[in-house]
Amino acid sequence: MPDPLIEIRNLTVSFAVGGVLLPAVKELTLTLQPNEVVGLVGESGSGKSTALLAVMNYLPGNAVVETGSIVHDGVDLLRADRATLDRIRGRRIAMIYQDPTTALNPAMTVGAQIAEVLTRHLGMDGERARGRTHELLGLVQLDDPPRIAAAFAHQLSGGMQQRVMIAMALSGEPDVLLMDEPTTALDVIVQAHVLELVRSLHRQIRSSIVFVSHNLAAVAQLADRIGVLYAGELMELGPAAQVLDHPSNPYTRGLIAAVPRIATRRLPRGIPGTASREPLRFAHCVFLDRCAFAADLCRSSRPALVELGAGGHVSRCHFAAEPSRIGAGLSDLAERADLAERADLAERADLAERADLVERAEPAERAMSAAGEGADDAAPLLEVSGLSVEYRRGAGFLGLGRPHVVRAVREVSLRLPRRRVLAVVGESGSGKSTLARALLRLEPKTQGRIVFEGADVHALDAGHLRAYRRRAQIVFQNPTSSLNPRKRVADIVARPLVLHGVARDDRRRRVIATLRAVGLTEAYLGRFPEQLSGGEKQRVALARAFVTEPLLVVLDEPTTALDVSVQATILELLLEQKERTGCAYLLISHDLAVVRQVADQVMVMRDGEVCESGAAEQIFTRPAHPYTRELLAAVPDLPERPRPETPYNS
Amino acid sequence: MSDLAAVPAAQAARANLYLVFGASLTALAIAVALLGLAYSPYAPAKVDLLHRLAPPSLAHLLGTDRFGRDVLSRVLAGGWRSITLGFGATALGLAIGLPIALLTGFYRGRLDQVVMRFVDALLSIPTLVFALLVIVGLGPGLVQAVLALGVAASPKFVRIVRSAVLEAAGHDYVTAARARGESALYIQYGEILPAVWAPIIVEGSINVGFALVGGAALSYLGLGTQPPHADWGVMINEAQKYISVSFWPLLGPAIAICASVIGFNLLGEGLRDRLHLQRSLRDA
Repeated sequence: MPDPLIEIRNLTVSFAVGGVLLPAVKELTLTLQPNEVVGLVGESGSGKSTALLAVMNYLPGNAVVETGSIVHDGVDLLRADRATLDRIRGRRIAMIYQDPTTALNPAMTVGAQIAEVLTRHLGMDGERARGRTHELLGLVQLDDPPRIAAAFAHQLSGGMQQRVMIAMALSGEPDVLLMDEPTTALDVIVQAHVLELVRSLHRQIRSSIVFVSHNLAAVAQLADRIGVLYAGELMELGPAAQVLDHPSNPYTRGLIAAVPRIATRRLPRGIPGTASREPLRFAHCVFLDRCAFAADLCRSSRPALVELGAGGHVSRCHFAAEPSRIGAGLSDLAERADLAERADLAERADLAERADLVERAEPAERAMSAAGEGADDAAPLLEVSGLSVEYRRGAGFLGLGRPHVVRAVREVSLRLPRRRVLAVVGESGSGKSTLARALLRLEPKTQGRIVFEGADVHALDAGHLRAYRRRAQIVFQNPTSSLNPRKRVADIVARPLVLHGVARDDRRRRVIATLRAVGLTEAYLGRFPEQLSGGEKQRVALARAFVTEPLLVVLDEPTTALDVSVQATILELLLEQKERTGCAYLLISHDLAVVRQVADQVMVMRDGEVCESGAAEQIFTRPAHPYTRELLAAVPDLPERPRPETPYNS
Repeated sequence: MSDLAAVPAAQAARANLYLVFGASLTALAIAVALLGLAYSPYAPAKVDLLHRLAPPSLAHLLGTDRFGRDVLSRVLAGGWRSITLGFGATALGLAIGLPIALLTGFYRGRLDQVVMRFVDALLSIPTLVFALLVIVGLGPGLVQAVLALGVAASPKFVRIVRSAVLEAAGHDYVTAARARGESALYIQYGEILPAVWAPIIVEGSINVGFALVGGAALSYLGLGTQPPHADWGVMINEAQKYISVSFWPLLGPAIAICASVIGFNLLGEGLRDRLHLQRSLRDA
């Protein structure tokens, strides 16, 4: 085997917080071979970003490297002096960050920023630097490089900005590219294009890549080898095919089961619990609390990396060599509950599909009921016809200037029956969020009718509007933004009940019942949002929405800001809540893999207009509109291989 | 773990240092003012013509002024007026500025444009000149000085709090409140106000220092506290006429003003750093 490009040996990095050292990366050993793509997967807080920052020697001031070395070309990067690092960083090793908007200088054209790297680090003169800048922008498949070079960051879309960042990283012709969640902030289609770009660049320029993501499906697109990190520890590492086909760690299996699959309607399985943030110190297995197969041995000793075969496949699990042990211990109580739930879900999915068939079989009847022929069961909860929403932008001081009108939603019609899930799909800027807000009367409509339970929403008097507000709720994408940081969970969840005049005793009972229903306990009542993880915050947001027993809940990208493993549990929870309360969902999403798992009907939007709408099965199996096909093709998926039988996915 | 990484340790240490110093000085100034209400070594107005403009001695720790009045006694006795000026003016400035900031930041649109241009116009007038304009209408006196400085400080509060309100109003919890049918008043005072307390407290404590100086300046100009009553500004006014003979009468009130202004400012800076740190921790 040739010499590795980067050799991380026994790396332990901790952060000094309040006088305590919290380990972020523990005893990590990992090599990057020439011309190799290594994917690192893990939830937030797993230490994957810290490991990358350590390679760049960009660790923040309160980080302490306790043990280990990172060797590149004979130089230990952790102990190199500034001059040496300046020669290596950007030239030999370059990094690409998650959010291009904060990484680009808003006051310089992007061309000038790339040219600056070329003139300062490579000593090119201005003319050559400009030529090379255009070459680089062409290399990342941006059309019309001179035009892009003359643009400022805010004039480019997120995907274009990320391409510019990649071009900048490539300017020093580095041997190693470190990519920290480079596609997480992007829409599905843009993500697919950037992944494709990285793949072709890798073939073209043959640099080695470390690709970090919380999404196993994205990593699976590119990686030769996959490493799985959990709470700072390497849980499993091996050739991509090995890790995906024969995952030998309960955590890896959990991650695989958590990926929603576009090809099938089968709810992904979340990993229960959240990663511990306590300063765990190697006394037992770090995954103990969340592992369905934990045995006494796991409590008493910390597993070492076990070698599995010759391909360099290793796993940190006492039972890594006995796959049946971490896949089929049927005696386990939790597991039996799990299976029961699974059967239940399958049944539900079945029912939903049968309902779809019925729906398709009886278009005539449905049309009749739509025309208002009596109120049968199929009378829709929500019916929208010809809805348009326009904004007036740039009207200037006191609206005296000439505005240009933005038509965010154009002539949209939809029907949402009770207890069903309608998904509205599209990229950012497609108008789907504006539509959602207009339905809740949060945007002034320009034209059209919104009818909820037979009444025109815009014609409601104050009293009926109150009733509507109680029956129609919304859940947002960003759980941090959706909870007031100065309020306790108890007050957040109780407030809708206070507003609607529910008596105090009754309030407390219902708040606790709702918290339980979303998987939280009374212990959360006194906490502030900042004391909660992202998934817990989203549960609180759900509790606030469900506490008034709504009939319609608008879910605006409810899982986009969450880790894949948490996303799966929230999706499960949403379906549970629907069964429990009998509400209908309007699900706004750009992720078709998620939509596939929960939607009964799908509506595809682009530029404010509906491209295609119909029963979910039809859209997914026989998409009619080319844009729908493009969306479907863009979803990153695990490679189609026979999947291992585990209780997570069997 | 990058969230933990976002905490620059040096910044945290500095915030703590500022907080400790600022809080101590502030507490000292308030303690002096309270003590002065109950006790002073001599009656603050007691004239002793035999010991005029005396340097510090065991009998008069900070010396005596041109009428032989004990400077320490007058610093103690005048303290509450100066401190009250600082707090009173700040409270009034907030009472005027907060509702306007909440209103314009919440509704935005034309109301916001009109009000904020007006506020900008007021901000272009230096605070002290603005206060003098108000005094012209009200006449001199302690209460009038509080009113003048409070009104003069309010445009700044509108400006600062409004930007925090705009930020808070963009969050989804405000949209959620609208979606469940909350009244505009509840959203402003029940949802947004709690979320913007941090900048209010920071700016408030810094403004106490400003108002204290402003009050001293008004008193110095003879427009605030009226002699024979003492406050720190009046004392400086009286003492500076004799500075060529003795600077001792100047020293006591000058130190008192400096210490309290520095105290309130450090407290504000420390709070700002601390709250900012917490925010960057939370957002990461």
